[in-house]
Amino acid sequence: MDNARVIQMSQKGLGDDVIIARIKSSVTRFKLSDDDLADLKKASVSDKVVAAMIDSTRLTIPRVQIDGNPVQIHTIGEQKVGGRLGHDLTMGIKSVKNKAYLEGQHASVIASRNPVIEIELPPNDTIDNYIVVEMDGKGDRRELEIGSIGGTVGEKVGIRSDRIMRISAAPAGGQHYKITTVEQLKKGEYILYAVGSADFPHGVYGHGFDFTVQ
Amino acid sequence: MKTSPTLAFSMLFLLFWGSIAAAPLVCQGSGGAASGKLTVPGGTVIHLVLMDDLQGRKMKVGEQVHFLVREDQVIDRQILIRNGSIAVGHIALATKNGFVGKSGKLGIQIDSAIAVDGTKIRLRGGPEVVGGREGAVTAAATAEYGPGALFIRGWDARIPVGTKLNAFVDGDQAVSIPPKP
Repeated sequence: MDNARVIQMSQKGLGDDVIIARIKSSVTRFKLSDDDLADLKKASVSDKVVAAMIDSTRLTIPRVQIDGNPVQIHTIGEQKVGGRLGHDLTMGIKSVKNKAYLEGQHASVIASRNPVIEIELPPNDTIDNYIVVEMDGKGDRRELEIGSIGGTVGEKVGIRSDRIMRISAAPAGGQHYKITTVEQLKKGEYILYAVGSADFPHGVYGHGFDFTVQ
Repeated sequence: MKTSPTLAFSMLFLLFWGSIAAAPLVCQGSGGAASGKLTVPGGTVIHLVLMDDLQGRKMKVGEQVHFLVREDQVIDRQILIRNGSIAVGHIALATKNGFVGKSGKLGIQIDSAIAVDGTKIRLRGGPEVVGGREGAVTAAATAEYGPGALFIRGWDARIPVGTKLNAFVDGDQAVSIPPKP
C-alpha cells in the first residue's frame, strides 16, 4: 500500500477507520517527507489517517543494508555438538564445541572485503548491541561457536572473542549508523549479530544479519 | 600597451562563443541532458540479483548466467539502467567436489547490463565461492578410521537463486537518452 492508494481510498469517501484498518493489515511503502505530507493534506487525507501512516513506518526490528543490498534478519535456531572426534583423539585435551548454525552454504547477500553496513535501529535500541562475527562455512550450513565444555578450558559460554571482528560505527543521523570493519575481512561467512538476542531455553541462539564476503 | 574597451569586449564575446562551440557532446554528471548522451562513470555500483541456481558440479566454464538489475541507475535525473533490466555474466571457474574432503569451487564473472537505449554496459566483478572447509574433519576422520575416510567427499559449491551482489561499471560508458514521449 502506498500514498496514492490512500489518496484514492480517501477520495472514494471511505471512512478514516476503514482506511486505518486497511493500513494496519497491509504491507506498506509510504513516502512521508514534508512534501509528501503536504500532498496528502492537499488531497484532503485526514490527520488521523496520516498519523496511522506514520505509525506504520515505525521500526520494530533494525533495517540493514550491506554494500547497498538489503539484508533480512535471521534467527539462529539450530544447534549441534561438534569436535567430539578431536576430543577423543587428544584424550580429552581438546574441548567439545557447542555450535549454533544457520542453514545454507552462503548468505543471500555477497559483500566486498570492506563492507559498508548501514543500519537503522528501532527506538530504544543502541549500536553497542551489534557485533560482526565470523562464522565457519561447512558446506550446507554456517556455524557459530557459542560454548565449549571439557579440555583444558573447562567450560565457556559465549561467542569466541577471536571470531569477533573489530568494527567502527559512525552516526549517520537519528538512529542511522554506518558500520565499517577496521581490517579487511577474509573471504568467508559473517553475521552482524545482535548481542543479547539469544534465548537458550526457547532454542533461540541469537538473531543477526548474515552475509558472505568475497 | 592599452586596449580599447570595444576591442576587449569583442575578444570576450569571441571567447564566450568559442567555448560553447567547443563543448563536448558527451557529458558526465550534471548538465548533459540537452546533448542527448550521458556517461555512466566507471566504478559505478550496480546492484544485481542472481536469477539462476548455480551448482559447481553441474556448471561448465563459459556457461551464461543471468541477473536482474535491482535498482534504477539514475544520472542527472535520467534513468540510464532500469530496475528489472537484464544483466549477464558467465561461469569463470567451476570445479567439482572430490574425495579426501575436497570442496568444489565456483566463480562468476559479470559481463554486461542493458541500458535504456539498448547499449550493453560493460561490467566487472563477480564472486568466487568454495563449498566449505572440511579438510580438518577429513584429516581427523582418517586418523580415527583409517584410509576408508579418504573416500569422504567435500561439498559442492553453490550460489542460490536470489543472491544479491554488486557489479561495477567497467570504465566510463555513454548512453543515449531516449526522447520523451
